[in-house]
Amino acid sequence: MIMEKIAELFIILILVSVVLNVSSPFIKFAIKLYSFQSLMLAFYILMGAVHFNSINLYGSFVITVIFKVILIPYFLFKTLKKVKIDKEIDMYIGIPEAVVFAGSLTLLSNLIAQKIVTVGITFGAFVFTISLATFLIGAMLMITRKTLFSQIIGFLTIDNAIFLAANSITHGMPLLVELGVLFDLFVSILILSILILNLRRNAAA
Amino acid sequence: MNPKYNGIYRYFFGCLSILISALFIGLSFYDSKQEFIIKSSFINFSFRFDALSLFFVIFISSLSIFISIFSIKYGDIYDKKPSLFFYSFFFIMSMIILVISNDMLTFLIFWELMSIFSFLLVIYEGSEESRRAGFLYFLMTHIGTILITTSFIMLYLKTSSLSFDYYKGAAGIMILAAAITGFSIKAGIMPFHTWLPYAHPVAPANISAIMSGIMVNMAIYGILKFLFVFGSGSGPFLGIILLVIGALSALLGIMYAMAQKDIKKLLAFSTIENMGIIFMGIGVSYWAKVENFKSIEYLAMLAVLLHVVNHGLSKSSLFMGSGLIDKYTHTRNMEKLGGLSKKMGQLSVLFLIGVMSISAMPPLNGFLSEWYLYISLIGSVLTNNLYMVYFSVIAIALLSLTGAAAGAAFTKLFGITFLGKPRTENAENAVEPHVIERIGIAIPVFLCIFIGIYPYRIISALNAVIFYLTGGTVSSNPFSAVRIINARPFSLYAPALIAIAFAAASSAVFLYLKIFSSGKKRIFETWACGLDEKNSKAQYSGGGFSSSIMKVFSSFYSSVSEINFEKDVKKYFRTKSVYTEEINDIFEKYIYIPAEKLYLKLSEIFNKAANSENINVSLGYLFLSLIVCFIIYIFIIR
Amino acid sequence: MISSWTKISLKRVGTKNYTEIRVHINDMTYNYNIQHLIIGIVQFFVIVLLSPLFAGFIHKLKQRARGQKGINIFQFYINFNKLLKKEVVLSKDATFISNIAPYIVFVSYLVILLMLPAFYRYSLLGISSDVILIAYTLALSTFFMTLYAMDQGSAFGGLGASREWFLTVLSEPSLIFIFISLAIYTKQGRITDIFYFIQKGASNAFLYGVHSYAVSIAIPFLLFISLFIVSISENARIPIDNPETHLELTMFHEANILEASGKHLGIYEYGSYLKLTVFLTVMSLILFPYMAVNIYQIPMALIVYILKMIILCILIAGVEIVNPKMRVFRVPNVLSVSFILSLIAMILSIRGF
Repeated sequence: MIMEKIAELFIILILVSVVLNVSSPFIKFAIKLYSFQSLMLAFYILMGAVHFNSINLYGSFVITVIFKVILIPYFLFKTLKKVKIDKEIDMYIGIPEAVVFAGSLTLLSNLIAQKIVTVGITFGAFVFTISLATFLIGAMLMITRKTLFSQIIGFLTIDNAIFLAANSITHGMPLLVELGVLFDLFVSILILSILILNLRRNAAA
Repeated sequence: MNPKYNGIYRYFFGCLSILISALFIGLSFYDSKQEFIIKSSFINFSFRFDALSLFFVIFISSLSIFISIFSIKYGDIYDKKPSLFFYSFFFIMSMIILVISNDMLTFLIFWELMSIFSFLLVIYEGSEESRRAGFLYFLMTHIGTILITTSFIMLYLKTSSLSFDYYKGAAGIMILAAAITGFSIKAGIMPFHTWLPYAHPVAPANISAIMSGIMVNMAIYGILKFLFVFGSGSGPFLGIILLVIGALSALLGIMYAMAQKDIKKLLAFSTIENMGIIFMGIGVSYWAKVENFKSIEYLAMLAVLLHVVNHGLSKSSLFMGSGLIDKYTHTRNMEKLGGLSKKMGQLSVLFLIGVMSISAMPPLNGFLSEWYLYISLIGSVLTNNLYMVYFSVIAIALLSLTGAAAGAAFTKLFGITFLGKPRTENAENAVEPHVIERIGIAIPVFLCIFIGIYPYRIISALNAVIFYLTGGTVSSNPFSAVRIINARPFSLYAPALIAIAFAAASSAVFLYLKIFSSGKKRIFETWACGLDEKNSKAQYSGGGFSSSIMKVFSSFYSSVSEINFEKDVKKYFRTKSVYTEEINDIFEKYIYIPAEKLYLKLSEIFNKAANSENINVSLGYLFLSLIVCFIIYIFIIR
Repeated sequence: MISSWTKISLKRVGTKNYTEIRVHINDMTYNYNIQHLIIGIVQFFVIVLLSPLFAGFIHKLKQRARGQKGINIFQFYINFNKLLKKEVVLSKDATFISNIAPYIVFVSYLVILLMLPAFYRYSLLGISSDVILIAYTLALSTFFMTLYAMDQGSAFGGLGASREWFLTVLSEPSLIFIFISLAIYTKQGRITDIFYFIQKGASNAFLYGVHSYAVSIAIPFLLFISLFIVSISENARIPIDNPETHLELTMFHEANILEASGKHLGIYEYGSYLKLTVFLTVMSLILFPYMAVNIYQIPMALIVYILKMIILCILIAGVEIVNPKMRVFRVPNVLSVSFILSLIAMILSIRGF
């Protein structure tokens, strides 16, 4: 019971980090927030692992920490250092409007979640709401931001949201599937980083 | 006409309206269930006092008594053209008779009379501005009248009766929608509000007080009558729509109010805000009625009725106050005023209380009705109804934003106008208004304080109306907590207790400081970094006050601003630079003006088609219209 | 009126042997006796007297973190006393507003503190301690403070008033939203009942293991973050305002009371400590709701209260040390986050998860 309540705290922190991400114009802060968000996701999985006592979820916790909390942010920082792009993120709409929009997306996702999921199925209440909201806000980040780098953050946020939803309902995927998904993600980030670097170089030349 | 006797009109009609209003109050206290019919050869006027009309009769009569007392002295600047007093008398009378009329023809006749007299009063001053405003008002109000008439005709077709007695529970959703749209034009709800900020400021101040304090509430009367008496109790979404439109209108109204320079225009936009708040209450109440959440329905209805009273009292006193400022300083522009508090000491105290009341500061009455509205909104969130929950959350968000913005707007109004140094000579030469004028403002202000601190008398009086409309009552016991769902005590706001706490705490602090601090006091100049202290232009202006808030909410406005300066002179050596800013209404810009252009274009096309030289075409039109008439007769009327 | 009231209390006395704790939560009619009133008054005076201490503690922490020696923690008491001894210098443009506004501002904080429970379950005005009332009473104090600022016709005053409302328009809705979220989360409207409910629910869940969807850590935590942001902005703390400078570029709150002197300045300053204490107390109760229910728990509850306040003071001082002053038009970004977080808390608590 207490595990579930604490897990809810971590879920909420995921949403808080996404909203902060919308509100902050700094790119380094956004990457740090992504790392934090993944850590919270990992802790959520850990709570689930303790609650269900499942070895799969323990494994999932470990690889999430390795890939999402450490490796991907590390590569992002490395790329950031190389390309030397602007510190601030340009957006098509103002930040307060974007934050209010994110709030209304959360409202909408709660409405949808209320229609789809009944109470008690998921591990932790309102997980589905939060994952849906995180998904939608991630998509919003991708749409409203101008630079490619900040769009990657939106993409990663969407990925986290899907990961969260999957873990909340299925009580953990098979480890192999999870590893595959993470490797896919990791490779896509590598490719994107290389793309950014090349684009920069070509633009400079 | 001898100009010597002009004042007589003022006294005569002023006293007459006081007497007749008092007569109506007495009549309504005499026996609560009266019904009488005036029969003439071609039309029967039937009247009836029920609880709702009783409430409105007392409300209109008492407010018009205060305003008449005020205008007995205030009106002396209008003595040259005494038609003002004649019109305003009939304006008040038509409204009183409107709320007691009991059949549709009487209602429409007096509704129309009210519109016409108010139109005549709007164009009273005869300037170009007032004529334009009057035209807009006339147009809009008649579109509203068309819609109301349509809904009445539909009711007639359904019940084949003219009397209101047969309409109970007869109105379906279509009828309700048409009537609500018509009435909300009169109330100045947001998409239809364009006439209000033009028409209210140009009229003389006592007329603005009547229009803003009383006349817009006639629309509320109509809506309450339609929704809760004639309505068949279907369509919960109608309540939700009213809630959302009301919330948007409240927020946008106060946001536009903040942007104004003209005192009366600010107050007119604030009327839109308050009508929005009343609409929110009506929406919640109707929704709760349909969905059968009884206690929420009663609470929201109490909020509506209380807010009608509170808004009427404080808004009419503020409009009267603005009239006095206009009379004694000859300007309504805030940027030219300032420091009036020193010259008009008592007026400024009255104005301050009115401002506090309308911006919902706690021990006063404005907060009371907003508190009931908040509680009913929280109640509708707690009902867990799938959609209403989300709309109430949004409404709470908009209402809280409105509350804070109202504080800002009225701080601007009071601070710029009454405090600081006088900005022009007009403001410097102001004098304390005549005692009768002050009394006219003081009575509603006193009632504001009284209702704010001891509301139980008026709540138990309003319970009769709430019972008539909804079939239940709200507890008027000072110590029984509000119950919203599950009959569990939810919360309590005991204004008397809070007021006592305020009084006790402030006297304790005062005594403490009296004993333990030095009573020395020195009057000295305001510190201005050692620069020129005499320059009153160095103060913050009204536009500067609200500009930072307006910048954050810039998506609500469409503003055009420009700075003119001497281009060839270097930056620090310019002798002057002129900044002009024009705040436009977004509805006007994006809906009304395009609609007007479209209309003109279409009429040009029709004009070309209709006025052709060819006689065959004209004959063809004749023939066509005949056929259309036949078709209408065969397929629709038969 | 009185008969119905006594009937309620009699009914409560009749059903005193509660078998279930839940019943106890749901049935909270106010049943005042002289003990509650006396402890309520004592609680009020304790908070009022302690409040300069908290402010002084934050100040001291900040100064020590910057490497300065720092003031005495009791310095603000001394300042207050000294200001009372000085004469009041009024502007010659000042009107009656200048004479009444300091009192009204101060008294409105006092009234809020009279409603607020800190370490005892009941407060003196607990029967009417509605959350919306508290938020609007804060608005009343802002209203008079800004009127005071505009009263002397000084350019700084207008600037301060304008900026104060700029902040209030953004932070007041979040504050109301936080309070209403608490009310919806606990299904109680009075602030005393709200925190008692949270306390009961938490002890039920974590001490006795009663499973309940109505209890959550996440929603109070979300509200705590949101309230933290709001309290930083409302109390003129560093990322948003810097009260220690008198430079017009950084002034929000301080510009309002620039013309105040003597006892007026004294009670304005004291009022700002009280306001800080109001926010810190509400935060402490959300963070760890522990209030004494009977007279024997009071010493323990008082100690816990002071500990919580010290932790929160350290938190606020930490935020103030770490962050630089923010640009004025970046403030809406932060405050909109707090608004949206409280909105999220409200919609998540609707279903009674």
